[in-house]
Amino acid sequence: MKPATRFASAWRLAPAARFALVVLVVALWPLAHRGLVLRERVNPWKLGGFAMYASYETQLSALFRVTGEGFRLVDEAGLPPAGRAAFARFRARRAALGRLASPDAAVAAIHAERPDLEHLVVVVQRLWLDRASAHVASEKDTYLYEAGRPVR
Amino acid sequence: MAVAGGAEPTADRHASAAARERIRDFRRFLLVYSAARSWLWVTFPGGATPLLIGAALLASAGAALAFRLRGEDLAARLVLAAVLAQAAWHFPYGANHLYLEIVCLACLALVRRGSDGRDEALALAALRWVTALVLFHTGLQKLFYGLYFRGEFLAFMAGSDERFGRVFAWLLPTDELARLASLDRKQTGAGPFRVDSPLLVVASNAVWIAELTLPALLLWTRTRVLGALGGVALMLGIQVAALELGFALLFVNLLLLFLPGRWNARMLPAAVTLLAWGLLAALGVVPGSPTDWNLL
Repeated sequence: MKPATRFASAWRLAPAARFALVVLVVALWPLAHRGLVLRERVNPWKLGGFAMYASYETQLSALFRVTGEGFRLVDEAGLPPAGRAAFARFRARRAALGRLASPDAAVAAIHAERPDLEHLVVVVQRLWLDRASAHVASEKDTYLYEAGRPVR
Repeated sequence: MAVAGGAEPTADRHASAAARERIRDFRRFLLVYSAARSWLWVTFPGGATPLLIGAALLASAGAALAFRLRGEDLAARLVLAAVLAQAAWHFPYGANHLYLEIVCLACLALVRRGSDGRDEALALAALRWVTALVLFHTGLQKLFYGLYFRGEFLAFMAGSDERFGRVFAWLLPTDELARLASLDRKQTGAGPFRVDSPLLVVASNAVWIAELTLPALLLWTRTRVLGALGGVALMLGIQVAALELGFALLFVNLLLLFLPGRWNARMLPAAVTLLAWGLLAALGVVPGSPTDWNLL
């Protein structure tokens, strides 16, 4: 078969391959999604993994200021508008994207408006229905910041 | 030559013509659905943005084009572009059925004019595979998370969600329902979300077992109709508790692709009526709320 003919035959097969590719994505994505849920704590209900109504999960994010006496909850209503909006956006994205959503940008925006908030901590509590105990279980991710920059 | 080989090409032509009709019917439903949903997004708080209004106009143009024989192949591509823009705008908060809508639109957008029904046959096969796979994955995910074997997830929802509580009041003793409702779900250690109700455990297991077995029935030609009817029954059953009308409308229309005859065309007036109610209710013209029914 001449190369040109071979190319023409492959092109004729292409429409079926294109449809097959769409089907393949639907077949494989939910498995990858399961991996993202386990590893990155992505919300099972989000991102098209078809795990809605399969489990309960929520993530609650809070901003704390580090003082000599420990952590003190920052009153978000008292933050300037851009910082407040950035943290609200982070909170919503975190609830859907899990660890794929970092608080870095939100804290940087807060610090840009309120440089006095030098030492900040973001705590994200993940709550889920544990299948072994049938009770609500939880874990926390903590992010430390100095002058708006993450402390790794 | 023409006589000897005539029977098979004729059968192929009939199959292609049937696939063309079925894809045309499904395209009309899906594009009307996408256009209506797009306008619903616009009616909700913060939704009247230039991007969403533009996407709704584009989706409406695509839906109108789907009812003309000339340009119907272009219709799905227009609507796909509109819905992709909406999904990007709404990311990562889009519901699973928004992604299903995109996958279905992608299948329709791949159909080329002048393929003589071959692309429509491929699109029909792809949409059927997508339907079976989505159903299978919903069951598989329930298996992975393991919260259906003893009814834990349904017990959790029964006490926290009014929709679920309404249904499970029939399956649970009153004091048990009251106990579940009193638990603070945002408190570590709250529980146990297990109940002594064989009926609830049976219902819970029936859901994932049906979701895993119906796709097998759908894929085998001889049991396809049974699988499709079972799927529709499952959707109706789930609607009683979950009220996910947007997903149900789309998924039932996908299941109708497995039935003999043009059921998507027959059901189109009912779908249009439902979507029109959603839009009019969102505008306050008729009673009800499309958000209560998740018609988004």
